[in-house]
This record gives sequence, structure tokens and C-alpha cells, in this order.
Amino acid sequence: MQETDERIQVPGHWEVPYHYDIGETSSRFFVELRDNARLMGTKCPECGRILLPPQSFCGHCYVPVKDQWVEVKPEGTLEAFTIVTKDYSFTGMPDPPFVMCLVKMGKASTSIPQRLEGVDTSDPQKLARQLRLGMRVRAVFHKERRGRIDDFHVELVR
Amino acid sequence: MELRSELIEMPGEWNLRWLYAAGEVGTKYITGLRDHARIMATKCPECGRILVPPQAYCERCFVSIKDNWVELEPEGTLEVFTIVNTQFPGQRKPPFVLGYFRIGGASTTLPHFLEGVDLSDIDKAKREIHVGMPVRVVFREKREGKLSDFYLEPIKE
Amino acid sequence: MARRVAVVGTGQTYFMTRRKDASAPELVYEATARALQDAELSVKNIDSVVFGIAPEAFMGVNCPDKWVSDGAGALNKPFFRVHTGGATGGSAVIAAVEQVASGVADVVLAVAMDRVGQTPVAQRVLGLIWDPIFATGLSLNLITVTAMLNAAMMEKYGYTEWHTAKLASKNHKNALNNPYAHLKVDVSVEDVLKSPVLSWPIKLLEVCPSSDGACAVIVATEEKARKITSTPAWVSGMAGYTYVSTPGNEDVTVERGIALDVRKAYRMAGIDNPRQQIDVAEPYMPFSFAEISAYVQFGFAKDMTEAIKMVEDGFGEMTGEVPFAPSGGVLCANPIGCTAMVRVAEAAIQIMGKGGERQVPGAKVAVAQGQGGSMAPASATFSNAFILAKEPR
Repeated sequence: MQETDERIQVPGHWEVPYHYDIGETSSRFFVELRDNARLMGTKCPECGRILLPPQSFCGHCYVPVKDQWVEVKPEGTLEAFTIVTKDYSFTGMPDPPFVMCLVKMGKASTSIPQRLEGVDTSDPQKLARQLRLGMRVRAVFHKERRGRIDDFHVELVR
Repeated sequence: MELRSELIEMPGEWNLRWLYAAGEVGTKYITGLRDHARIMATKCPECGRILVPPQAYCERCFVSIKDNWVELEPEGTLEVFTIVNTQFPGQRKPPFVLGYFRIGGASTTLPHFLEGVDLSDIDKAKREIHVGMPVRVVFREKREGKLSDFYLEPIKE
Repeated sequence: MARRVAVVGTGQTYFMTRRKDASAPELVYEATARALQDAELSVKNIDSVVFGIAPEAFMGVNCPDKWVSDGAGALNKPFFRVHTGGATGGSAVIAAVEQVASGVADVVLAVAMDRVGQTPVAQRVLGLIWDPIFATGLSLNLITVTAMLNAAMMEKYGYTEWHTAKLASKNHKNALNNPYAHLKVDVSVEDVLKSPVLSWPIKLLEVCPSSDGACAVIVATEEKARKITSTPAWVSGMAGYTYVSTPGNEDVTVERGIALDVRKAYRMAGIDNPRQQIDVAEPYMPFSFAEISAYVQFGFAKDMTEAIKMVEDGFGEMTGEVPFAPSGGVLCANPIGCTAMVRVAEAAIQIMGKGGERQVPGAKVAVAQGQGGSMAPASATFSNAFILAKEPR
């Protein structure tokens, strides 16, 4: 048997479609976002935390939170951010540059990831110095909404 | 607040590509098919088993066997089979016969399709195909180093 | 085992193809909350959590254990995930029991979940478990591979499609008594024989469905168990076994792994005459034909000839000597990574006397079994077995 330097690599491909059933509680969140341009969370009757996105149980108190809906003010604070620059584009993500952040809206106890728009991204270093944790942001709801998390983005309150 | 009863379903997809390293032993097997129209196996010097597809180690004796090669005779028998009648997404169009074949006296069997059987009458086919049926390996002209480089057909008595 | 362990509570979700009303963490919460309720415990009483899910490619979320852990009450607790394919639910119970038996924890929650229905192509996902180097492009999935095994066994042992249909009909009828079962269809032997042939000789009504759902089992040390419930189900035997099958190297029609595994569990539980000593069985059988050899593997029949006669005589019926799958079994619900835990839960339910319409009267000793993997190139079978009893050993 001849020795060979060849080291074969066998190509493979996983192509699997999904239909994610998001459940009653998450559905309510997206329906309200889509139809009424408002953010709805659930409030735990024991610890009082407001969960956004809403959950049907509180993981801290371990009790059901199913029907405790509250509207969350579409204004909040910047908790964290990063700037994806033109130096690198990730497979499956939008073309850079763009700003991803975590924002805490209204009286919610939890932060949600979102895109920060309406800022000048031409000089990422400069922008990074300008953005400060704790800055006020507001939700900007899009005209056409599909019931997805990108039905809105956030912008700095000037 | 009124509870809406619309239940949302979100579409998703995993569209991922891989390059699986076949390894030194896997490469020899694949090039054996592709370049030499040969089915190569490895043999354990301790328990004597002949393993195809070839393994770099014998999992029973737990020793390395990656340099002990044997070539298999391109003939054998059908050991188990099913007649697939359903179109599973992404798989071969039915009906077809899928089986495990003992080739060249190896200690393990290879999964493959049995060709050259008339499947227009399944009941008739069920009676013709049987465990122990002698088969021959037929290599194709164009080979890529895959199991599809050859097929199995019954040896007519 | 160093310390005695008992099951003190169980919980299940209603199984169906798609639980559209719940997200994954919510399914886990549902089963866990039910188990806590069954045991009259609070999440604070749980020392540690073991979570099980089989390939995440079914539900399409990588590392779902992170997403669902708060639904499992795992906040601030030790937590890890277990994955042994179809045996996952059982392996999670083994891990939980071992924690209690060894003394590292007193009360442990084992919870498992799967969402096989989140992809429309579950068999394609199952076609991705084979050796990618040598076994692709061959239309191998669990139905086609298992069909080959069934065909070979029929030829060797002489049972017929009528026998496998009879077992399928029995299981489906049993499921009518189980509020959690996914498939509840009252089908006769004729109905099964007439159902579409998926891959000869296996027919649609002889195969499990793709299910969404979760199951939870709480185990505790003897001292705590006796305080928690008046009807603990003692884990008097438990075993795990890995059987590496290189198809063709052994006679595939002689199944060894499950038999060895169940016998190990019997020895531990002091069972030497299973036919007399076992009252009910919850085996892992996604295909109805597997019950025939199960009679041999579980030590009820001495060989396949006797097992085939037992099928004819109704050995495993609810009115038979040892009811097999009073819940309807895996044939009637298969949330794959969770299914083996459902077997343990159903066995515990029998011992605790909570079986309702599916209760086997006076059941004192039950055997539950889990299994993952299959005969195929580079595939192992993981098997686990549990003996649950009214009296501790």
C-alpha cells in the first residue's frame, strides 16, 4: 500500500430548517410590539422584578408569572455597547459598521440587546469615547413591523 | 388586560458546512477506492478481526492497528436489509433496497444499496431478496473516494 | 449503593408534536414545577440539578441548557447537562441518584426536555449522527436502520408482521389511559397492518412520533425521603452499559447490551426470578417489534420462541402476567432526550400508586429502561436500567 501525504477532508453540510414555537408569553410580547408599538413585560408578584422580555415564571422566586403584564416605558439607559467596525465582518451578521448594545428600558429589571442607531460610526474610536454607560436612550419603533425584535432600535436621547 | 391568543412561530435554519478530517487511515481507505478500485481494511493482530471501514485502533484489544492493511475480495453476502418505501427529505428516492453487506470475509459489514433487483412488485422482491444472498462488488468508471464508487448486485446463480 | 435513594416526586408535560404555547424554558419549568408539587417541595429544597437533552439539532438552539437552566430551578445551584442520545433521560437519573448515594447531595432534581417537533425534518437530523467519513450519502436514518434489524430478526426467529402489529395495538390502547401521552389512537391489529409501510417491514403505526415535552424526577436520601412522602419509590437497582456495535461483527439479531444492563440492575436489587418478582415494566421501545426481544432481555422468556408465544398469549397486556408499557410507552410519546426519564417516572408512578387509569394494581417492583444509539457504523448503544420498589433493599 503506497504511502501518501494526502490528508483527505470530507465535506459535510447541515441544512436543517426550524419553526420555533415561541410560546404564549413571548407571542404576546411580539403581538404588542407589532400591533401597538409598545413594550410589554411581566412582573413577579413576589420579588417585584419586571422581566423584559417577558417570562411566564420568575427564575428567582420560582413562581408562575403568567398573567402579570405591565407596559414598559420605551426609554431607558445604555448598559453596555460594542462597535463592530469595517475591519471585520462576521458571517451571517449585517455589514459593519454598527453598534450593538444592552439597554434597560423603563422599570425593567433586565436588559435587552438592541442596535443603537443615529450615531456617527465613521470614526469608531471617537464614537467609543463619546458613548457613556448610563446615557439615556429611547426606542424608535419602525413604520413596518413584523413582530420581531428588530421592529425597533434605540437612539440616544439628545 | 385582554390576553391575545395568537401563537407566533419564528422560522430558523442551521446552514452549516464542515470539513471532516478523515485521518491517515481514512485517507488510505478513500484513496484505495478512488485511485485503485480496492476496498481496504485493517486487521487486529491480537483478536484477528478484519475491520471495514478500517480503524486505526481495535476498540476491544485497545491497540493501534493502523499499519495492518488487507485488501478485501470484491464479493460477499447480504446480511440484513430493508426495502425503503418512504421519501425522507434529502434521501434517495424510493423504492430502494438498503442493507449491510459482508464483503471479502471481513468481520464487520458495510451499509450500502443493493442494485439490480426489480422492485416494481414489492411482495415478489421480498421473496427474492434474502439473508445470505451472494453479491458482487462492481466499481464505477468515475470514482471520487466515496461509497458510491461501487455498488452491490446479486450474483445470479 | 452507599446510601439508599428513593424517587419522591415526578412531573411531566403533556406531550405533543409541537407545544406552541410554550418556549423551551417554560416546558422545563412546567415539568419541574409539577414534580415539586408532587413531592410537596419547594425549589429551595433542591440541592443540585442534572439536566438532559439529546441532540440540540432537534430544537435548533445550541447549548440549550443555558437557556433553560432557570426553568429547572438551577439558580445558584450545581448544574450540568447529560447527553447519551436516547438514553439521556435515564443517564440524568443515574447522575442524580449517584449524587445522593455518594453523599454529595441529599435531594437532587433530574429534568430532561426535548423538542423533536421544532424541525420538520427530524429524520434528517437523525441522519446526521452517523460517521461522516464513511457513512454519508446512504439514506441511513433510524427508521431505515432499525427496519433492517427487524427484517433480520423476523427471518431468524420466525415472528410475523402480525406479532409486531399486535404489540403496537396494545401500546396504543394503553396510551388512552395516560393523560400525558402524545398519541392516543384506538387502533386494532388490522389498523396497524394496514398503516403505510415506511421502510419494510416497519409501518407507520409501529413507530414512535416526534414529540415536544419535558419530564422531571426528584430523588432523595432515605432520611429525607421518608419525611417527604409516605410512598417513596426506592431505587433498589440501577445499571448502565455501553455496547459498541460494529454491525456484522456480531449477530445483530442477538441483542446483548440491554440484557446485560438489566441483569446488572436485577442483581443489585436482589431479583433472581424476574417473572415472579417484577410486577410492571416500562421499557424503551420506539418500535413495537422491540418488545418481543425485550421479553428475553428482561429475563421473562428463556428464548425468542418462548417470547413469540408470549406475544400470542398476551403476556405484556394490562391483564397479562407482566404489563409492558402501561403508559403506552415510547410508541406513544418520544421527546427523545427526555423519553428514558419518562420511563423512570412512569415506573415510579406505578410504585407510588399514582397511576390512575393506567395503574397496575398492587405493583411493588417495577423495571424501567432507557436506550440510545443503534446498530450502524461507528455507533454505540447506551443502555440504562432501573429497578424501583415499594420496599428498600
